[in-house]
Amino acid sequence: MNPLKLFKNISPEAAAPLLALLWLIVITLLHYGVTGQTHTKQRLKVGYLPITCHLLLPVAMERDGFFKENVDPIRFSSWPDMIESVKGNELDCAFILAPIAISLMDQSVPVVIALLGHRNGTGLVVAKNSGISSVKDFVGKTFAIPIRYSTQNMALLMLLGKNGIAVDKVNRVELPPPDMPSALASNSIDGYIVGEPYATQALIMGKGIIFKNSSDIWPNFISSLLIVNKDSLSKKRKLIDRFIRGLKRQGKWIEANRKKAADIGADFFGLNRDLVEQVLTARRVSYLDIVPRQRELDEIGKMMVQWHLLKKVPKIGIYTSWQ
Amino acid sequence: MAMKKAGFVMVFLLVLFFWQVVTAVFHVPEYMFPRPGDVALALWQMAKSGRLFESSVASLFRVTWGFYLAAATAIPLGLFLGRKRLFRHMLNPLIQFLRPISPLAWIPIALMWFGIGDRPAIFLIFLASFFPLVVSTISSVLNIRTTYLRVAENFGLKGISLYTRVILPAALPEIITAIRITLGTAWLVIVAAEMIAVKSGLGYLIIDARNSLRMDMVVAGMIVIGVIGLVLDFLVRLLERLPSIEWSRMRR
Repeated sequence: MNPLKLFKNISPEAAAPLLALLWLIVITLLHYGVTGQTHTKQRLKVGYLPITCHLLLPVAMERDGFFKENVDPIRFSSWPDMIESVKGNELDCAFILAPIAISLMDQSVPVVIALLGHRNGTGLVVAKNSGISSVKDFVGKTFAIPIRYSTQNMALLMLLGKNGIAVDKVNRVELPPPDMPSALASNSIDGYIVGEPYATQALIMGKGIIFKNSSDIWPNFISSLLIVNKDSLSKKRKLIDRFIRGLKRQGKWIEANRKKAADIGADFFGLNRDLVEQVLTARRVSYLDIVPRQRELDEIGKMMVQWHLLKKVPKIGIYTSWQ
Repeated sequence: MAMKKAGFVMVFLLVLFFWQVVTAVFHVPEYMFPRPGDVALALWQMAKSGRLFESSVASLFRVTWGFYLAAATAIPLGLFLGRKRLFRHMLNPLIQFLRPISPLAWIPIALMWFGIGDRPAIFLIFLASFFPLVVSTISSVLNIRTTYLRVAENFGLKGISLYTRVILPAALPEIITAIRITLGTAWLVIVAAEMIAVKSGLGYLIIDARNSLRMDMVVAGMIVIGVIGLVLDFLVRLLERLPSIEWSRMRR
């Protein structure tokens, strides 16, 4: 079948540009008809990644009518993309790794920290067949980290430091979290440190063991936190305050209904239900103590300077008057 | 023709057969490479939920706009530069400098300029298509036989009518070939661009399936991308068979 010969009265030469134009109109209408959601200015755009550290958002979306009406969750698949969107003022709020937030402040990006995602919820995984039984065995091995600006990376460095191992004796590579379990299964890495559920995933696949939980290395470990754009804050303060209060409320509900919360999160993130249930019911994560404290964040800033991730500790802006 | 078709079907079935046998015999786990049956099921589920259609429309929409914008600017510019030696010498170094930079290298900048959504992806497709089209159009104008231009001169053709009556028709066969190759590149780039710069489309479908640890959906997405690529190529090939294009091939 030749579409250029469909019309009897029009020569193929004339039909070609006509069809090209027709295609442009059809595909544009289809696109806006099918995927075109009208984004009203008043709705809050909130960036997140499909990890349990950002579970407050899907649970609130499911359970809280205010969220359904006023919040557009925007899913990212990697940290660098989210960083660029934050810098481009595309998002009102974002769940982002604590050291990234601090380094954004160092670059004078107008954001403040309003809430923590959760506490703990990170695991250090080693491959079953790697022969690692103590931290001393890490020497010469390859470990994956999500990104160098992560408390995961810093926890690994902290663990090495405590055991008197020089940082350069262990090979660290940056990998997107979803790739880590399969990289471990194919023996390209000996271990990794990552936010859940990607640590538990190695357990389920039978390829790795959780060598340490974040809480064993760094008590009250912080992974991600919620940042708010300062422009949005001055324009939509009431909306944002309600949004943060709503998130905090869901933290209490998650603690009491871990299995239900896991199912909501798994469906929203598109992850396996059993996997998320295992993460949440093994109680490696806590959603209670999530109001940020200046002292803790300054501490992370100092450590970043110590590990050469920053030149100096910037002024870390905290916003807690939403309470 | 019947032989060709039978041959194609045979190779297709053989590939399916080996895929099934290899994954079953070597006990390849699902997370390493899915079975044909799982992929077919994933395709069916995604088709039924409308997600496949929605993603394909989003990708095609971006490629269409990016590519049309590039063609609408690059071809006129190329025709002009092909004729004007001075401007060509002035702009060529810049074009040659920008051309080898992969459109994907522009992703961080595209994201910051255009935010998230259709615009950064359209911008990346534009970049991927614009430079090859300019360069090929210039060379197609330079390849026009001098006889044609001399005859045009004798008939007193000047200005716009010289372009529309002689230069464009003479250069068109080469431009169409460039369009076909560039459209292929644009389709390659859209998938990569959607893995990063947007939240819908076939590239996003794949990256999202990966994040959910669904390898069957990843492979299903790859198959759809391949099929649409084939269809696009088939359609542009039809242009090459138009009488006003085909004359150049007969000349040889």
